[in-house]
Amino acid sequence: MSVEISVSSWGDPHVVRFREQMDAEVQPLYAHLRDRVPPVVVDESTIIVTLVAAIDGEPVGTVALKQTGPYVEVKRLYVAERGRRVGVAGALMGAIEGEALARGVRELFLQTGSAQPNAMALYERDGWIPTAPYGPYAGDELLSRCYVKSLVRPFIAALVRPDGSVDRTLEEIEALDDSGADLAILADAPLAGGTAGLDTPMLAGAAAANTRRIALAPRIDTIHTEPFNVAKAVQTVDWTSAGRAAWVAAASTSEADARAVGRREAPAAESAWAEASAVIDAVRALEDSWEDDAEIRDVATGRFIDKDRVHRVNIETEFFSVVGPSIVPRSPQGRVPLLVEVDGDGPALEVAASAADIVRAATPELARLVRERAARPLTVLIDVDPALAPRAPHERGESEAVAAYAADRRALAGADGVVFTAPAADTIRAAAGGTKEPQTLRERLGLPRPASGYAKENAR
Amino acid sequence: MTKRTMHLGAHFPGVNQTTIWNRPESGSQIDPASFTRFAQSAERGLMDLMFLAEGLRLREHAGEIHDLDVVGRPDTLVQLAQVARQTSHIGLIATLSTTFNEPVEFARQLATLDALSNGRAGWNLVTSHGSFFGANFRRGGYLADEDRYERARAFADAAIALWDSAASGAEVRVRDRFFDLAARPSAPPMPQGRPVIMQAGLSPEGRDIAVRYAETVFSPFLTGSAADAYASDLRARLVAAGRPEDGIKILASASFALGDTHEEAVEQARRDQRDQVSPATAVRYIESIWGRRFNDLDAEGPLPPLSDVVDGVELTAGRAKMHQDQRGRAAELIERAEAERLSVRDIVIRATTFGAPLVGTPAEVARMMDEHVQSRACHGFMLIPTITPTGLDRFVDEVVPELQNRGVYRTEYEGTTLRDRLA
Repeated sequence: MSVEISVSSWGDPHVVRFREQMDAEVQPLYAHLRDRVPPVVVDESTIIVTLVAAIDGEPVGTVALKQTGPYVEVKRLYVAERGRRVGVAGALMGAIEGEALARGVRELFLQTGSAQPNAMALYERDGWIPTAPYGPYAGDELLSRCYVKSLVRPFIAALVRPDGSVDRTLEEIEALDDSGADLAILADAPLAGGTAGLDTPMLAGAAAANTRRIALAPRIDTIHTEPFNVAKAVQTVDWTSAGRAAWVAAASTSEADARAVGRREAPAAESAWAEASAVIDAVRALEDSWEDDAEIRDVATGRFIDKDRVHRVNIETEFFSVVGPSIVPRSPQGRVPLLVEVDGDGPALEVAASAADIVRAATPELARLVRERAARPLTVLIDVDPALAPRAPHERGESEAVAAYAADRRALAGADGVVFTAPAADTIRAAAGGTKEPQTLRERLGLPRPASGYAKENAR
Repeated sequence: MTKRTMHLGAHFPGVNQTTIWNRPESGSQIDPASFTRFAQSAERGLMDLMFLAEGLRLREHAGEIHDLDVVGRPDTLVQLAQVARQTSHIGLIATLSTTFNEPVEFARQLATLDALSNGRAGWNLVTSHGSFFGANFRRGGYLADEDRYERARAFADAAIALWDSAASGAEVRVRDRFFDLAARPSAPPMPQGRPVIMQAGLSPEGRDIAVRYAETVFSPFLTGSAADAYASDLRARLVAAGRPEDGIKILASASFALGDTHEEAVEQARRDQRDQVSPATAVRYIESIWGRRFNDLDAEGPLPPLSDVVDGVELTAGRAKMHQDQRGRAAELIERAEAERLSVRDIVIRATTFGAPLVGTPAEVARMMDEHVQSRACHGFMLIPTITPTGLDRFVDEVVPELQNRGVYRTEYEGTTLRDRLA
């Protein structure tokens, strides 16, 4: 006996008949609730694919994949009597996950009913985790029992807020590394003071000493710092972490910061981000200013470097100028990935769309907006505050509740990953699925290592 | 009478014209593992501190990037932040300019280093010359050379005010010729309260800075009348300022060459010099004195004539000016080379300070160092090895025990902070 799965259609007579059988079996279970939960009407155009399972050519079950707003759902899993207890349900679920994965779906959802414990047990055995009722079922805790499964391991970032205790902060980063998180975003404290902050590139350099795998993204203000210094700090974080660096470009508009530094007035947001953008360009030029093979150690001619492969950048902007080259040779990643944080539809979003490698979005709407504006490949991360995770009626613990909430946020945002804005170690450990070998951040993001722009000039 | 004990610093070789880069054991000047290796070796030798120099722009010669010496270095602060977590005792000295930094960010950085290292942060306070370095910074060559030290003092005062207010959290207001700022401390509490301040440089203004702020200085004079004069001048200035006359620990710049016999050490020093002064380096040195390029000068041949000197041309940019009187210096070299029949390369080897002043067996070197310290020419040494990152190893293994046997060097680390070590 072998189970064959094939693509069918929502209107296939076998499929229609299976749905009728399913309704006949299931609806009596909810007869007492009929008045309180309106039936869901399926718009056929939202069905992505329908599968049928057959044994010896005879159809015995079906399942479908459906687009429901931002969610992709498994719908109408049904196995007729002849297919039960022989693995047909599992085979259908495996096949529908494959269909979803092939279409680039990262998070898969499903809704079943509170009176179907056998179905719930099946899903839970198969790695589905309880989630609060989503989309059309939101608020229905009476009938709906919803589940989510991540088909793709998400990119996992966490926000670290140094509190002035270096030991505590470094322990937090080491614990994140241990749990398998991909990236720690190191928040800075205002230059104006009042809270104990650490210099974030230095913190990253220190954290790199005792971590193996996690990437480190210091947040760096571009307004009150020197572009030349920003580049050498970012490049050095990359050297000291063997290619695990990112950096977060920030643009201070705070009057208090401006007063503390005492060199200039605080710029308005528009101007601040125009300047940040110029600093980003300068950092990238300085990162390229040494070609990869500039160091030659040629004893015959006595030359340590080939000076034709080390370049002045000669950057002139309305904000600053930098001659270069960097004092730091090209770092392991060549150009360190840039992260831009977006918490509104403003100039930061424009810079994120045009220049960032990674975007941290505060809301799902902003995440979708920045991807739409960017119109290029981009890693988008959505904020997840574990404290806001809703509890499902059938939840099995806080860490799973947070994981389900994170999956829900990713689906809403169409995001590649998350930024946990508060500690979520158990959730991270489960989602990371064990630690992996060290990689550069570019490798982890699937970004090729770029050649120096100056090397291309030489080749021409 | 008890003997005066000795302090030792370790200058990371890296970007330095004395660093030898062409031997099999010559390692990377940028790989972080080199810094770890060097720091741990210095710590094994119970040294007071490890020192990183600053680079704000690559050196240039005749308008092009100087390509004959080791070049390319990490950001000092980020690198030392990492070394801080890989070591437990050694002080970490960052050379940082008062010209192209701002006090608020700078104060936080040093506070971060002190916190990361549990009280081992040090600042080598330097000023930077005008427009060459300024071209990499927002303000360009904004500061007249004669104002460099006045800004340095204002800068140090502002940074110190910020460090001192960390405990109370009180707002610091600075308003002077250079700064107009108001900030509350934004840094973690510093185990040392303030970093240890180091100064290097011999000008009267530099010495004033040292007496005002420094607890240690990096001196170019190892021995002789210049060293004695410098040490007694500093003592006099300290006393005049109401500080103890040993309030500043003088670390004399010291390169070294060791051998199992004296002859072997001399031979080692000779090999080092030839590796430091390649034919191309010798020609370039002559170009910088003659003020012009010599595309076909043979390093094994004679010096060019005095008539070739072009006055007033400074070919080298990106390091301290080497020669005030180029023509006079050229005449001196020509005379000596002719008298001793020396080639371009040989006269450059003789003329430069690249030669190792501490040459001998470990016991001989230890005795020389002891004598310099007992004579009050200095309080210790800034060792400048020639090989990255292993250049300190033989010194640690063979000279340090000799110093300990002479009773002039610690046998274990005392105290916990860099300031404790220098006391």
